[in-house]
Amino acid sequence: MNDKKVAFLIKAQFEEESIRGAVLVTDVNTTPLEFRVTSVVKPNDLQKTLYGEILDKYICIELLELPLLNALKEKPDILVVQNPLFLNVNLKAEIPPIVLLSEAQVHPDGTVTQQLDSPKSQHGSLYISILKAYEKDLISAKEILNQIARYRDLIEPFKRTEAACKNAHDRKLVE
Amino acid sequence: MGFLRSLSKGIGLRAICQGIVWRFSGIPATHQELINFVISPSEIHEYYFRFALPDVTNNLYFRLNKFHISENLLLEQQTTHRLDLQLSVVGTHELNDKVSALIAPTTIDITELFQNLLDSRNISIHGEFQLLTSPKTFFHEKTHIAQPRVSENLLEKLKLDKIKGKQFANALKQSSQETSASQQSQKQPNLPKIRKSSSQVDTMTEWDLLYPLLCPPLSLKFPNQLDFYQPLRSYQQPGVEFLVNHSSALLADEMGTGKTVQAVNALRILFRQSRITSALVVCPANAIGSARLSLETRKSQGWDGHFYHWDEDLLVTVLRDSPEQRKIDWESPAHIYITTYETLRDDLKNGILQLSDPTRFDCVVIDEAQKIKNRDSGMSKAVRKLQPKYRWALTGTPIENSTKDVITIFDFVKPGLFQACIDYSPQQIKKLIDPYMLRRLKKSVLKDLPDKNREEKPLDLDSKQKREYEAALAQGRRELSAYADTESDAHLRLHIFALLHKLKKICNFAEGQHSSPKSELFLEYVTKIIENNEKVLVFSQYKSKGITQLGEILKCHHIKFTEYHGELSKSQKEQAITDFINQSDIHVFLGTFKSAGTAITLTEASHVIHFDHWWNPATMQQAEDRAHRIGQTKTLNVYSFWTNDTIEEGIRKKLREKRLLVQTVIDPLAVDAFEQYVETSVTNDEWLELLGVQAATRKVKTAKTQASRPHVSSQTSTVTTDKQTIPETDSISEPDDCQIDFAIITAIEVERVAVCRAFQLGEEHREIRGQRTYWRNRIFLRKGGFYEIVVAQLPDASNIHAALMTSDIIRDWKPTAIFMVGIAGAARSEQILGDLIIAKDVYYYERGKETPSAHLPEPTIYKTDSVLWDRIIATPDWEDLIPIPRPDDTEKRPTIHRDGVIASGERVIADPAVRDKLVSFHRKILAIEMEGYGVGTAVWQSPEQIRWLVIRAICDRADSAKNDNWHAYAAAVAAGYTRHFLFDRPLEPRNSSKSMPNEL
Repeated sequence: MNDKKVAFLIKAQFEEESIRGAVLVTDVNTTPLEFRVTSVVKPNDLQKTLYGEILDKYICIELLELPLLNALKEKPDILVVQNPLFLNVNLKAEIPPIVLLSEAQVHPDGTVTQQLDSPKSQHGSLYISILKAYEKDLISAKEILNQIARYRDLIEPFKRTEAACKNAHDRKLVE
Repeated sequence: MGFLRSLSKGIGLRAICQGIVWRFSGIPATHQELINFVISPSEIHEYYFRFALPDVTNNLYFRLNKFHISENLLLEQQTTHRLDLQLSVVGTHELNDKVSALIAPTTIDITELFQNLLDSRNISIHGEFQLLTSPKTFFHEKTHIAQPRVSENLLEKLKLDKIKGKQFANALKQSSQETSASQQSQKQPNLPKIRKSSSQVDTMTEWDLLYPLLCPPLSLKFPNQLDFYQPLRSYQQPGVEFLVNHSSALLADEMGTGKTVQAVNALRILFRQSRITSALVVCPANAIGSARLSLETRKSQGWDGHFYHWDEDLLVTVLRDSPEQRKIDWESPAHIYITTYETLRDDLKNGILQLSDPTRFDCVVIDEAQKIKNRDSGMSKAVRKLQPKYRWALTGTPIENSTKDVITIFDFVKPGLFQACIDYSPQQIKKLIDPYMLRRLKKSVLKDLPDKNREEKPLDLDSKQKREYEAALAQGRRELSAYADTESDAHLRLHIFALLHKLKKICNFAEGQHSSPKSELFLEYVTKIIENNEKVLVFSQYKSKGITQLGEILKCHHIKFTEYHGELSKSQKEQAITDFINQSDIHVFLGTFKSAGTAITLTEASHVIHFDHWWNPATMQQAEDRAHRIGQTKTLNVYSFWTNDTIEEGIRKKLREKRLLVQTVIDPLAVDAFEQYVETSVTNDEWLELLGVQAATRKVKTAKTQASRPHVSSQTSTVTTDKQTIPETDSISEPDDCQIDFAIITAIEVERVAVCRAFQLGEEHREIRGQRTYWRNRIFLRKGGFYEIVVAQLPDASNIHAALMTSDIIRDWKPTAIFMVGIAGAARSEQILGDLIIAKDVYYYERGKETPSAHLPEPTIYKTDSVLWDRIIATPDWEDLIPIPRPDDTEKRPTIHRDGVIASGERVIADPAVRDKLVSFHRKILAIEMEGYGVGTAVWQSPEQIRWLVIRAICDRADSAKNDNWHAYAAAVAAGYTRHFLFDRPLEPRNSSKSMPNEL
């Protein structure tokens, strides 16, 4: 169990509608093992019009999630996200994403949801959701996440991933 | 030309006409008939212009980052082509709105062409045809609508350019771990490449800077997550918390309590909470320490060593190499930059550190913050240029000389907390700084630190030492007796100290001797210590007559030792420490107070021998504390070797007296300032008395001085920093009995500070008269007697303020003379900065008449006092130390210009053209300032007969390069010369009749 790796994936929005994706892979102590960040994705008006309502989904999955996961050298055992759009990666990803939700968030359609034991959470009870097709993966994921949640706030790694992504963006580490 | 071919085949005229119509009208074949050989005008049938749909791209997908935008997405009208015979083209184009109306057709006459065609075929129309109208036809010039150009691939699919990042193997950790492994496997450890700078470690990238951000955040609320290198002491955790929670903080814990540990861990927490991403530590050179040494000794040595042990995830760069390397290092990524005050000053000054963004460092820590106490120094200014979010100062001695020290430190720590124009009382200062300061004393927080056992070991000189000592003392007395009446204070002091050193060295070893009573006792103690398998630190003030000779003795007895002194290289010093700590057969550490007395940790030793003594106990205690600090588990035995009936004993007694005095009068915050106090507070007279020079005369003089002092103020903490001691300058309890001899006016703070420093005026000398604040004191003169002086500072630099202040001084104090002392701009570009100008005349250049053609100057010239002028000329050469270093880093002494004219006006001149014009009016103008005329006017208009003088030192060239760089030095020159002049007793003291009780 201790050798499990968890990936925390985020989509970060910056000025002028610039979008980056970032992923942090940690061990079960949330010690960083790998961090990747994408270059900026910035759809123009025409693209927004043409892609329409599928734009966000397309960016999240095709441009952020899949390339980031493919770039990782530390292959994670679980992929945790907060944005439900990442869920629809379907068969394109090796591991199905799990959405981490706080109490106040709505559970995405087409998913199965379970509550975590999260005594260290600073955001109330935490839930994980996975697409119904991957329901069987939920149990093992829950086991790993429960282990982490026992000592750590599971929402917190997303915050550092965002902070590091912002730092990389500000310092123009990926142009 | 199909219709011509038809003609040649004998097609009828009707067809020809039809073809002509087609050819020139651009209209498709119609049903119109040629009736009776009359060609009717062609008709235009708009409905034949059928417009096709535009081409559409095959691919609506397009990529985000690389797509081509059509030059013109809309239809455009391009160059017009005449419609050719491919009439089928017509009707396949589209008209847009702009060309929706057909342009009227143009007519052309084709009669000639028609006739030629008929003629060429021998067709006659005469008789058969009658040409009723000219065969004209029409065509449309601009009906051809251009084909819209469409990009082959207008849109590209949204795509991502690249992904970057790092797999964190953590090179720093790996390096350490590999080293540990290699150390365990090999007897000769293959030392790792200790990071010195990211510029020198290839594997380091900017991505490594993200590592602390990506680590789980640390909080003191969850100390179990903090994985400290060693457990923090109970008082250190609140110290860390204090720093983390205060963006402006002064950690003033007493020396040896672990301020560095607290600051390093506070920085670590800030990094791990993403509150900072870079920090700068500014410290004295000996506090930089070494990561390599810390690795080897397993003790955190200096800042570099503390970061190495306490937070190996932070990338630390030490800036202390060549300027070229430093430039690279400053520009290379790092979490922590460590440098010295001097390097920071120089690198900012020389552009090696570009501070285009003053907020570049999120946190700046200044260690031994008292180094910036002089706000006019380059180091102090350099630190204040930084504008970090977190400003921390660390010092065990926030107040060294006066409460001004702490105010200057807070000018960096909390800008704006103190206002320059307000004189704060100590109580006010304490109240203001209280929220930002944390101070704990060793005795209250390190209760578990083992005790120190002190043993005094008085010894007698051997016969050779006695003979040599007495001979040296006798000769020294003779020389000092001669110098006492002829030399300046500073020179006399140099002679005194030369003799003191000579005698102290004899107390260690007689010339040419390899042993002495001290060395024999030393050997005896060392032997016992080694027998007990313990270790000892041995300190001496001297290298050759101290630790070197002790080393020779140890070698003779095959005792292994390490040596640490100023002549060793950095690596040799580190090796000495490593060997002493790690090698079990090395029991003795020999070091000089100066080199080994600070910034190293040697808690392996449980014994300390002071082979001789520094001038004050504080330095010796600091040396002892190399072993008596956190980590010491045994009682520390401290042995002090003295020689009876020698200068050592005399100094010991004198220091004890002084120590008692200091402990009773100095603010508790300034306990550590004892060192400087002692060094400077023992006067030349006292030293001479100690050495037995002219004891009788000097005793009388000392008694006079003592009697003249009504009491020692409880606020007395006056300390000089330039090693020049002015005879007693304590506060006067009933000053009104005395008349003022000299009033010194200064225009700005830097000038007033310089004058107060020169005359040892502190807070306790401040006196308020009416609306004015003065600094008043008594100075005792080399040639006997004393002057009463007052010093004042103008509210602003101007002749008006100078005149008003002079009038007030005359009214309040009725002084014999008034001096305007300070800085000025050079009148000529060739003048040298720092030179001194004593005005013979003051030339007011502002007066004049404005005429349509020109400004006609009507300057006013005041002559300064002829008596003082006469004394100035007769004043002996000035050779006293100038307490501020020259900004050009040379040793040049200021040239004194005694026959110059000082131009005075109302403007700050920073234009060489204006300067040169002013100077052209008077060939002797040497300086330009803004107050001399005001003083002269007030003196001239006063009913009192006041003497006056203007003394200025050049601080800039009154051109566009004008800046403050030379202000402090020039102010010190002007103040220093004024002091020199007064001590030469230029005028008879007014209070001579008020003799001391002993004189009566």
